[in-house]
Amino acid sequence: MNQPATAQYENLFKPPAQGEPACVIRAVDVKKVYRMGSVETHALRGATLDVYKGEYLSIMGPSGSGKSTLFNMIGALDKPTSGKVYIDQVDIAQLNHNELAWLRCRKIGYIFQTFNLIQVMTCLENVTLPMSFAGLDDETARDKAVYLLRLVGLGHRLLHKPAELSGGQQQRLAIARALANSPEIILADEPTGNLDLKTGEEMIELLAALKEKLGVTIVSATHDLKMLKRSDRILWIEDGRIVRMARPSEVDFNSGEFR
Amino acid sequence: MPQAVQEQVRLPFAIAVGVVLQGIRIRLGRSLVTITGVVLGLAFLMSILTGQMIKTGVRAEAELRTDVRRMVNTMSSEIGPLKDRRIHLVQEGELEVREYRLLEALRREGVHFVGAGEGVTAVLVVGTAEPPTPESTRLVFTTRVSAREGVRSLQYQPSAEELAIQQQREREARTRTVWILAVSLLVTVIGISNAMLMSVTERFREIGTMKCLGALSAFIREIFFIESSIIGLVGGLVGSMAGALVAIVVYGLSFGLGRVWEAISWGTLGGYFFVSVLAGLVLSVVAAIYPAQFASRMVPAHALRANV
Ligand SMILES: Nc1ncnc2c1ncn2[C@@H]1O[C@H](COP(=O)(O)OP(=O)(O)OP(=O)(O)O)[C@@H](O)[C@H]1O
Ligand SMILES: [Mg+2]
Repeated sequence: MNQPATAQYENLFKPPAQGEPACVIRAVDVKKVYRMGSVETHALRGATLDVYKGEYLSIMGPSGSGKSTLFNMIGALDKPTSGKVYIDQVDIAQLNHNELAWLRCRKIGYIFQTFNLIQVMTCLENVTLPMSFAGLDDETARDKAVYLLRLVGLGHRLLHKPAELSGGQQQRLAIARALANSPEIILADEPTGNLDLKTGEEMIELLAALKEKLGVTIVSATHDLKMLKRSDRILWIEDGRIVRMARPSEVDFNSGEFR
Repeated sequence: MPQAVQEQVRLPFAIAVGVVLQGIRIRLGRSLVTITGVVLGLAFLMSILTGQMIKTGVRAEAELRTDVRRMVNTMSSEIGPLKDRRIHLVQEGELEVREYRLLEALRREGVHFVGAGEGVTAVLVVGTAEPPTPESTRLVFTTRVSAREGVRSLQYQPSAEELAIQQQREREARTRTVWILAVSLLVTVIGISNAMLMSVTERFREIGTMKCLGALSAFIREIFFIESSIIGLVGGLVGSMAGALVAIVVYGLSFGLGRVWEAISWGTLGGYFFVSVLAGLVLSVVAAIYPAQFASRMVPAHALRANV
């Protein structure tokens, strides 16, 4: 199958919601070039995609293909070299620092590939931090953090530091933190990469439940078969380009190819 | 309906202080290293200032002693042996330190100060009104009460030549002090900026994470300034105290603790202490300006990757 033209995406994949597609994230011809001295790395060579409200979008691609870079762009963590990113129909290049901070704090929950937990803080404090940034009072924040940490199975590790946790536990802490401000969008970069089968499944269930019960939009880079199967759409990225998009039913997961 | 984008709220100052205090407490080892940098710088500065003061004080005390001895000698050569002499003391005004010391010295020599009357063989006039002119009789005595009033100033008047040498020496000492102070300030500045820069760079990643979670640039800046103020203040207090103590002990070992103790002017020492602590505070905050600006302007995605 050939790479579909950008304009065909919307026709090809009707969003799960009825009526007009509510597009939460739209990236238009986003390019990102990293310059290190005279060396230029084209991490994204013109990515265009729409993420619909309440959908579960999985992103696949080989290492170095630009998945994390794409997350940074659509998550308002970095500026594209060219192209536009809209979140809820707002061009994020037009937002000022305070509005961007608000966006990162309230609208989006990030699960980073490298976790990026704050090492000097306890699990509890890691989760309450975004809530205090959002202006929540301490007590409410603590109660919610405890609830979230129990939810990801870290109820017995509240006062431990990230360094005292296993890789999988750190990942779950990162998930709990991403949920702190009840974001409308969750951007997850390999959220089950360090989890065993059972825990990984639990986290997938958790994300799926968020999507189904609360209509949270989830974008996740993953190679986890179970995750891919639960997602609404799968997107392939190769060498900075989006090369394919498909529904899970159209993919033969044994070969990773289309049926 | 999606919630429209709003401006992120500014966090209350107390939260920033809380975050900083927690950071300092948790990174206690690291914080101590940073504070040590500040402490060393200010201890150096303060020990120089205190040492300078002690040296000046000790020298002034030594000069005072020489002066007093000279006056006693002059007196005994004028009126003969002082042992068991009855001298009529006339106090015309407030006494100078020098005069107190002279009276003490005379008493030690065996002089009895008495009112006018029997057996008085000399009159000593002290506390003459200021300002003394070259001819004034700051401290005078007469060898006989009734008859000839042989009046003579007891103050030692250095010759013009001696005066010039002394002034030259003072000028040199002042230049040296200014130099030493400049160098010690420089050392302090370098020590403090280095300490602050270190404590900032090692946290780029953490700051990046905070920015990704919605921290405002202003909040990041606030954190740096609060932290540097705390470090500057604590380092300043500890360093200044340590510096003063070291100077007192070191000079005490060479001059004797008693003389050093006498030489200390507590008011001046307090002034130095205040200046030194203030210098620590100001330098720390100034040293944090650049890193704070840098950190607060970092693109979150880049800050995340920073590995220091
Ligand atoms: N900050 C940066 N500076 C320079 N080059 C970068 C930077 N970030 C990413 N790159 C380059 O951009 C390309 C895409 O990187 P990216 O991290 O997006 O890949 P990825 O798909 O997330 O890979 P992985 O699956 O290994 O996480 C890579 O070639 C990488 O070397
Ligand atoms: Mg990646």
